[in-house]
Amino acid sequence: MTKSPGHQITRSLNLQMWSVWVLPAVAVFFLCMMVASEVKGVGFYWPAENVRQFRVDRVLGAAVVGFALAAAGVTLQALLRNPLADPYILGISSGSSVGVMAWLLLSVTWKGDGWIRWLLKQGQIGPAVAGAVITCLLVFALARPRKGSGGMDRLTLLLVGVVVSAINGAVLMVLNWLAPAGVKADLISYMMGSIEKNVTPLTFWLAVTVIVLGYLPILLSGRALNIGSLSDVEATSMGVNVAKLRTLCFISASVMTGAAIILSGPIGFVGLICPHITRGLVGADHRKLTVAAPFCGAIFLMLADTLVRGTSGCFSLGELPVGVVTALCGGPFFLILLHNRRGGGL
Amino acid sequence: MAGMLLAACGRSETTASTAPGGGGPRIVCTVPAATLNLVRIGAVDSLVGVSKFDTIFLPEAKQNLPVVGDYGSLNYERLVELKPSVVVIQTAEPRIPARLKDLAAQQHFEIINVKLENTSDLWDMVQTLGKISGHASDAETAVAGAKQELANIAEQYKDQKHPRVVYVISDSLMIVGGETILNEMLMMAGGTNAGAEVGNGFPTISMETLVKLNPDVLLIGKPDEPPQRKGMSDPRLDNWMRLDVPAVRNKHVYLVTDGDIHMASVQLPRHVRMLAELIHK
Repeated sequence: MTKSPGHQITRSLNLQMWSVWVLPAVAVFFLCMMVASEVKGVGFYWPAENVRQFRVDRVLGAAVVGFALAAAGVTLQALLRNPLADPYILGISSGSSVGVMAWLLLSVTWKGDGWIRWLLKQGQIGPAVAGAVITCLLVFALARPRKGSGGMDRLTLLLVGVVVSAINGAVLMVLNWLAPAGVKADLISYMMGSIEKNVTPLTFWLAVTVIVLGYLPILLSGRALNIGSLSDVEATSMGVNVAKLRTLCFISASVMTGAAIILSGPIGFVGLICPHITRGLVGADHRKLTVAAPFCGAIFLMLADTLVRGTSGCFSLGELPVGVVTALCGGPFFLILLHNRRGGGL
Repeated sequence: MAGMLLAACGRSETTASTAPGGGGPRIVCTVPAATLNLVRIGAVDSLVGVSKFDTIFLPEAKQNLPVVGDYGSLNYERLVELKPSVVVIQTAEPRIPARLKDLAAQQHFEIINVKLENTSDLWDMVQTLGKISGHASDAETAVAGAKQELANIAEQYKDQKHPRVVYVISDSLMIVGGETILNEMLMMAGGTNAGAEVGNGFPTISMETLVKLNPDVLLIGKPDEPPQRKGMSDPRLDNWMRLDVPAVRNKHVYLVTDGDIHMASVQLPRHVRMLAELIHK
């Protein structure tokens, strides 16, 4: 069976992109590995053996989360034809957080032992992914236009996302209110988003596996995403099953977001900033973007997390959550984008 | 107005407060630690309202006490209905709600704003609670007994080594730093709080920093969870056993599951003794 020229070009572009982006990502990984987390002050040196694994976990964790969030972001932006789409803004991250926090609350209130205790400790990935997928489907369903009333309105989608996110926020507050006093600190810290979550190796590798499984369909859909970025009529006339593409990619983006949330809590704006940066560098071809944006996300979050980790010895309160740093970068970035798209006025 | 706003620092003029219509003191307490201490000094009958976090400290007969809110917000309507003679709160002085002050002036109740930054504050608070509830001598006895017990513990462990201790109070790696009651408790238990080297309060650290603190004893706070079983093979310790520190090598990693340990009270000596036993195991 011979492959079509389109598939061959896609494969060639993917390989080019991999070779271009893997190298800087690896370089940044080693750079971040050199930054120490000191009790007091800052340090720059290769880690001693007794801390090496923790530094690897941390930098790798940031890379995986950044990769997943940016891959989800670029997919959502393509499918929704909306450059402001991002798992955080559309409420997918908060939906996943609801799942995780409900599970956490269940695990602290469950007094029994045995396999249920084990499941509660290791099984967070299930509610995280379920929360993300349900929220994604809900936002998409609510923002969907009525038959015959044209395509999906970008601002309607954003508004629905913001409202669903606010509802999720309220549910999170209720869960926090229900939580025993002893675990409130854990829940609040979780909501601020940070890489150091003390997850078990099993949970970490489970999340990585889920992210890889979620990413593969997106990687293979670069060409379809290019066509899917056109109107539904145009895409269908060019042989793309838009409904199937949307369903597959939405689920993939949600699954990746849910798995990332397990490792870090909700970290905002990575999925917004990184696709835009890479679009400026490699253009709007999704065969390139689906490779470049996730690596850009990995690099961005590795650097942001290393900043908070490396400077922790300078503050008496320890580490600043990395979610705060990404929000401080991403919030203004979002406003600038919105401002530009609205022709100069919000 | 000034007379109604007292910090719990052992103000000598504070005496048993009575309700405007006469009768015994009617205390609304929004501070869990204060509620626990009122229970411990036998003044639970003075309580007419509590915070939503306090019911776990109350005896069976008092489980239905009205809840008036928490440290963050108060239900003023319910507060007025309860006709308190004293309202116990814990907040920074400038953050005392103006509405509460106005209400105190109108309804003639006292506001006791407690401070709980060290053990000295704790003893002052207990004595103040004793005075306002008409249990001054019970409070004095409890404080004197606690101080004596702490002196006994200090004497018992004074000639022993002072191991470096890190007390992790949440899974997000929040630890006990300096200038906290738990820091004092670790020192009274004959340990050296390595977490104080990071900073004061409850700093958040990374696993790498935890390794660099090089603790001889690692305490993991899991309030209200089942006690540690199977020694070091308790599955809740699995993640901590990856640390290459003396605490892990010498198997001095312990779960602290006592639900009240983070609540400053006259039970402090019992908690300090428990910590001392873990630290010097």
